[in-house]
Order: sequence, then C-alpha cells, then structure tokens
Amino acid sequence: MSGGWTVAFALLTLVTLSLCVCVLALARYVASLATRLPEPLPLELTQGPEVGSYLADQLLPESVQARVSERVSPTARTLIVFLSTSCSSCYRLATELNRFARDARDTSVIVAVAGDEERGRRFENAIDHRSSVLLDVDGRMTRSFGISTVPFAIFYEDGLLKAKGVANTRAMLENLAGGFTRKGGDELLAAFTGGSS
Amino acid sequence: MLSSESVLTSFVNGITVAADLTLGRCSDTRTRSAANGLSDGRLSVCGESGVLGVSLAAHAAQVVLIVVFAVAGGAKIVFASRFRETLYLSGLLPARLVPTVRWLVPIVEVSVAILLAVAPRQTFGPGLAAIALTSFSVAAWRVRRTSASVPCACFGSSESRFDVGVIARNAILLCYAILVALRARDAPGVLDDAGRPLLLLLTVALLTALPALAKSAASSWDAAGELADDAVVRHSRALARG
Repeated sequence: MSGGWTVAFALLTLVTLSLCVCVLALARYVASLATRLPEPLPLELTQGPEVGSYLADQLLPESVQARVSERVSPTARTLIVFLSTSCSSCYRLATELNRFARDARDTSVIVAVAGDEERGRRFENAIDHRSSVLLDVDGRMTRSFGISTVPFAIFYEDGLLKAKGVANTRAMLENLAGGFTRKGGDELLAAFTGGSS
Repeated sequence: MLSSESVLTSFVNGITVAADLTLGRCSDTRTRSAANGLSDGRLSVCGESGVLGVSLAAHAAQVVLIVVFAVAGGAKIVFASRFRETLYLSGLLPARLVPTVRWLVPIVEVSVAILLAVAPRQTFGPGLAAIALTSFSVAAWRVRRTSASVPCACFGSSESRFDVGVIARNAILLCYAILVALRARDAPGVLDDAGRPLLLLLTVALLTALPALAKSAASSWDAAGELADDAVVRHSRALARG
C-alpha cells in the first residue's frame, strides 16, 4: 500500500466521520425543533355551516338530506369529511380515516367524495366498513354544505356543529373532534391561494 | 476475528484495486487467478483483493436483499390493511384483483428472501428480486404521474408516499440484485465467511444505508419542488406573521 493511498484513506475516513457528526447534530437540532412545534390544529374557515348550527337546520337538497340523515344519529358524535378525487392530500387522509374510525368508536364517520366516479370508487374500496362513504359525483353534497376547500371536516355532537375546518391529518381530525381549531383560516387561505379563493 | 488494521488494509486494498482495474493495470490473468479470494484471505495489491472486494460486496448485497424482502413482505402481511388501502387508492389494478394481489405480493417478497437465503448459487432468486423491484418502480412511477399522494406501504408504514425516492431506492436495490445474480455461481452461503464478520457487517451496514439515503435525498428533492412553490412560500410567510 503506497503512502499516498494511506493518507487519502485517512483523510476520507476523517471527512466521513465529520459528516456523520454533522448529520447527528442536525438530527438533534431538528428533533428538538419538532418537540417545540404546536399541535397541528385544523384550520377553521368561514365556509361551511356555522359553528353552533344544527344539522337538522341545514338547508340541504332532499336527496342529500336523505343520504345524510340515514347515516347520522341525532344523539351521536358525527364527523363528516369532504374529500375530492382531484385533491392530492385527500388520498393520504383517506387511509388515516380508517385509523381514526377504528380508535374513535363512539364517532360515526361519513366521507363524501367529490369527483369522477372511477376514482371515487377507489376511495370507497379503500375506506373500510367503519366509515360510510358517499360518492358525490356531481359535487352536489359538498356544494350544499357550502364547502369549496378540501379536505374539510365538520364535527357534530348531538346534532350541533361543534367544530369545522381544513384537516389534512389524523391528528387534525382528532383535535377537531375535541373541538380544537385554529381561527383566522380565511386570511391564511387567501395568502396561500394568492387571494384567488 | 479481524483486527482493525486488517479491516483498514482490506478497504484500502479494495480502493487500490478499484483504481487499478479502472486504469487497466490489472491483467485478466491475474484477476481470474484470484477466484475464491473471499475465503482464502490473501491480500495482494491487485487480483485477490479485487475479487475479495466484489465478492464481499455481492455477499453483503445478498444479505441486504434478503433482509429488505423479508421485512417488506412481513410488514405487508402484518399491516395488510394498509397495503390493501394503497392498492385500492393507487388504481394500479382492477378492484377485483386487489384481494388476491394484497396477499400475493408479500408472499412473492418472502419467497424471494427465502430463495436468496437457501439457494445463493442460483440466479433465480436475484432474478425474481430484479423483476419485483422493476415492477415496484414502474408502479411507483405510474402513481406519481397522477400527482396523488398515495402512501407507499412498502414496509407497512403509511408515512412514505410513492415518489422519486421509492424509484431511487429500488434502482440501487436492483443494482444489488444484478450484482448478486452475476456473482451467484461463486456465492457463499449466507452464514459462511465466518472469518470476516466485522468486515461483512460493515459492508452490509453501508449497503443498507445507501438505498435509504438515496430514497431520503430523492424524496426531499421531490418535496423541495413543492416547497419552492410561490403559493407555499406566501403561505409560510403568512403563517409566520399570524
């Protein structure tokens, strides 16, 4: 083994070890930042039914009313989640919904999927029997609830709307079911969409 | 058990021989005469150590593939519902085939792991691994094209999604499978080579880290495109003000 190779190898080892230390330090830094992040809360928007309103008072088309009321018990906790087949994060949330429904057994979960029928069927198949899936091919149900941003969830307890908002993750859904939301979502949404929505 | 000095010497010899082979300094005769370098332990500047390096890499790649396929298959069986969700949401298959494929894929993965472990001198195991990895990459590419954020469920977890990272990881594993297939005739058993456990362990660790790092890097690269989006930047600034 020539001396040049030994020096090169020793240098390479030193560089590699230094990089390992840097990666560990960065991981520690990111981990400590992550522990300081606040709980992810759903973003409350003005769209959708008013908080404090009753599901029974919601002016829904007859066909939608029938589909919803047959799945909602007036004395139960009910979470209605609006998804769309054209929304990227809705696919991830659909899988999270199964875990949410499994853990929150006292809550009925209804999932309204807007968009084309073929992709809607994928959601219907992927979401298990604990949740009810309504294919909203023409988007009528989503529109009749006054919702234009997805994924959006509204939470009813004893027929009264307790909380609503944009929820992208299971943690957000759990917070929504606990009545926790982040206010002032409309300004954030306007900033996000450049004021187009 | 190898001393740290011999480990160092082996690595340096590997680098030296790689350079020699690249620069054409090793004759074919010398390289060919060094068959079974893995088990005889002689280290020369050229020849034996080159074969040793390649054999060691192939052996480590074989171990990595066994572990990866066993874990992936096992996780898909344990977390069967997550894999089912992925198959339905991705739309890769007609819905009627999902109940069969959700069990078929993990069975194939576990079979590949078993084949690689029990028949290391056959090219069938690495060949099947290569076909499986290519199929998974094509599937990931097809899902990514739809822009849907479908969880990959590759190892049972729903955290990662189908993105360029999955394709990058599979590409490296595919290279491992090809290497194992090319070296299959001379391959030792999985538990052979007991004289060099430390060296083998280090190489396995390196070859395991490589696809994982490539996946993280490619996924971050993919996600960076989204983060650089003007709308997201405006959103982040608004969040900071709020």
